[in-house]
Amino acid sequence: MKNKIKEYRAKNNLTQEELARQVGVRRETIVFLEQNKYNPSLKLAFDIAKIFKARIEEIFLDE
Amino acid sequence: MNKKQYTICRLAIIIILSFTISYSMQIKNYILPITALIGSVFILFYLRKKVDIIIADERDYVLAGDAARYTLTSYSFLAVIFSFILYSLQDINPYFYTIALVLNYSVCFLLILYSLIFKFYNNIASLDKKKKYINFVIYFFIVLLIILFGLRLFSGEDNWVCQNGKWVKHGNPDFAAPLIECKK
Repeated sequence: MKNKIKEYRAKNNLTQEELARQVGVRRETIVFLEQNKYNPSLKLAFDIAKIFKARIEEIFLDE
Repeated sequence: MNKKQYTICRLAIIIILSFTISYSMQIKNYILPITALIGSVFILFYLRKKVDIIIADERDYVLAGDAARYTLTSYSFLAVIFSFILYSLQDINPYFYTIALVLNYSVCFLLILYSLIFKFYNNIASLDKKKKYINFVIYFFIVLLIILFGLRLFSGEDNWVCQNGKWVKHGNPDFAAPLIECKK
């Protein structure tokens, strides 16, 4: 599954550390997510979408 | 407390615990290591609560689950193979039979414990708080019973006992007397 976390993070002016803290995960998890090496749980995906004020399918793409 | 301080504290506790365990073995005090172990668990638990950053998250839990599953599978597989090898070599050294038995029972115990814990987590997902507590108590007693049963199996009812410089049968051991010298 691909995602646009890096894009949205840049748009929202957030560092990986800040995003990680806001959604309650480690920074490494954000790194793995951005590299498409980890598929998040539904809860984490919703939390990330909520931070970016976007819909989940706008960030996570089923490709 | 930050992660670095927590890591240093954890390392210090592990060193102190290792020292305590080895020292207790030397002075043959078996209550001290158990007390130290329980104490260390509580201290680490307390320190972990004090850490202001996230130490483990869902990705770690997913990885831990995979690692645990593969560890369980590989240990069971290797332990069974080694136990049969040791069992076939029991004529060389009778202690091999005991080691094989311990390995086999450890695999059985591990698999039963895994099944119970799996079932526990599978069941509690749909239960309310009171039923979760009842379920926990039931599973706790099942595990306790298995441990007691295991201890009874390894209690050495059928074994060789050292008496007046000779190995004497206690019960009906189905293996030869130990090869090491009996010094009592």
